[in-house]
Amino acid sequence: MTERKRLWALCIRAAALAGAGALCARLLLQNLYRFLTFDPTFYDIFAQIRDAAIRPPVAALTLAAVGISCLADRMCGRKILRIFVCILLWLLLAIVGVLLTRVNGIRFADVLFSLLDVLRKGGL
Amino acid sequence: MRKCLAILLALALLFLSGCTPREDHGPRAWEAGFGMASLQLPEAGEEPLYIAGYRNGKEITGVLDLQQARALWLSDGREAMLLISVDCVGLGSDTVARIRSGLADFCARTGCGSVNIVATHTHAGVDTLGLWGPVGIDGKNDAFMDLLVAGAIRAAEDAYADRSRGTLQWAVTKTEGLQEDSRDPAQYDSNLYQIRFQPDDPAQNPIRLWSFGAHAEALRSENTKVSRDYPGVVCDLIGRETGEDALYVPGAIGGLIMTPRLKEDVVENLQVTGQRIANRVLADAKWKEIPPELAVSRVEFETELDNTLFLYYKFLGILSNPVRQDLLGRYYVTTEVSVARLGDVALALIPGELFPELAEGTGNPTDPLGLCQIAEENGIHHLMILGLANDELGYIIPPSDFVLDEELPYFREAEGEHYEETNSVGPQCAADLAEAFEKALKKLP
Repeated sequence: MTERKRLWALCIRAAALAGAGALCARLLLQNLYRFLTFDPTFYDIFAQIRDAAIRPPVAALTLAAVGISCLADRMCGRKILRIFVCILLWLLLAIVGVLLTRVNGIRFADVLFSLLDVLRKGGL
Repeated sequence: MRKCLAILLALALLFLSGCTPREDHGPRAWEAGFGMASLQLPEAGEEPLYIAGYRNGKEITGVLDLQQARALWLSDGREAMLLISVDCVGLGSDTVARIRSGLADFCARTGCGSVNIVATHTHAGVDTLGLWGPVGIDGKNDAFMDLLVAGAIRAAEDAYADRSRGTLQWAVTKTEGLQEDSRDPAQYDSNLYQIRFQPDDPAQNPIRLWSFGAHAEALRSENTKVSRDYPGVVCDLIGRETGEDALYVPGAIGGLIMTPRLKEDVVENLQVTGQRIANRVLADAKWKEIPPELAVSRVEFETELDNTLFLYYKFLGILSNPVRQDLLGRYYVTTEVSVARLGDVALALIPGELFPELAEGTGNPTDPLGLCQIAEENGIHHLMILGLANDELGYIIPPSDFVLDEELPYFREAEGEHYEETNSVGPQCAADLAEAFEKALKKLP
């Protein structure tokens, strides 16, 4: 493969990874309430963000995706192993993406960790 | 040569055409108008109506008197402003923006340079901030909010249509025994501030703007019926006794400053409280004429959003102010402060419930200068505080008295009396407000 073709392939792979990560983050937060059916209070509370302004960290995801693509590109060994590593790294990217996603301007991670701390201390 | 001359002539003509003689507006004179709209409750629908001010999830069970929007149009012949007083617990910046947007064409048509919306802070109104639904759930009723916005706009337009020329006066009346402060130090502003418009045309109603520093909570927490609370009673009494159109704006009510409970029955308490305050409003006062000069300036500013609960509410879309986050992870909320100078009197439009200590000054080096002190330094000797103006950030507390629970800040009150901290954006607000207020003063022409 020529250098130019490799570069294109890398860019397309990175864009796909970043796009998939952003879409995943958005869909997860929009539908977060569906995972909380065990507690009607939390279900109702988080249902309020299904139509909220949800902004995944596109720049950070793109950077991470480029890194994963470059890594996959440089990895030697069996193709199946390279795919497996990519998937693992993509999952990590998706989790970080969700945490860094902003809902109405507030980062999900800030709310999640704060809420966990309050719950731990018996504040709710 | 001819070409040069022609070009020079063309340039000269262009220059001269731009130099019009200064437009003569004529002598300045006060012009004012009043408008009012009742805020009907929406038809029973899917969304319940929650009563604002006390506990979560309390639904409204009836109506004592309907909430209203009352508007004052004020102009000196050159500048013009609107002051809209809405009977509700508070209005977020999104609702203020909706009202302003709805009046955009009106402002372009009439030359109105400033639209200001103040909440009376009645604790017997429909939840307009979203904080009194079930815990974590937006308590606002969309249909009611639409009616509120439409009512405010209608009142403003009616105020403009009602306008006439006249004289403006102001007075400060002392009161006694009409307030109590549940938080130490017990400090409140016992003055009643009034601005009265006397129209030249005797067929027009005079207009009275009055301000008092006590929470509109005469109906207390037992009540579940809609009411304007004591501001409504006083405005109605003013109308009946004098034929004047009245509107109320809260002063520095942070603290928590309320009227004392005089009767066990809350409706009786409301009537007695309203009558006592009306007696002082209508008492003889030393009225001073305000020369016809109006100037308004507005400054947007940021303050740190430290309150975790408010952060959650912003995340859920219940609170509406624009926020940004810095590189250290701190959030900042954007709000505004305005100053309206009427002759030698100034109105400070504050976006929350200011502690009176912050108006007068505490003398503590940790606290910012009092707003009155800042006003004096800038040549303004008579300052009227209008709280809950154009936003509602909650309590604005002196940093020297700002104490949080160590384990669960903002979720649990600290030892002693520190409830107000749990309903404030954070300890930085007072200083940021004072700085923005000074900028607004310096911006005045």
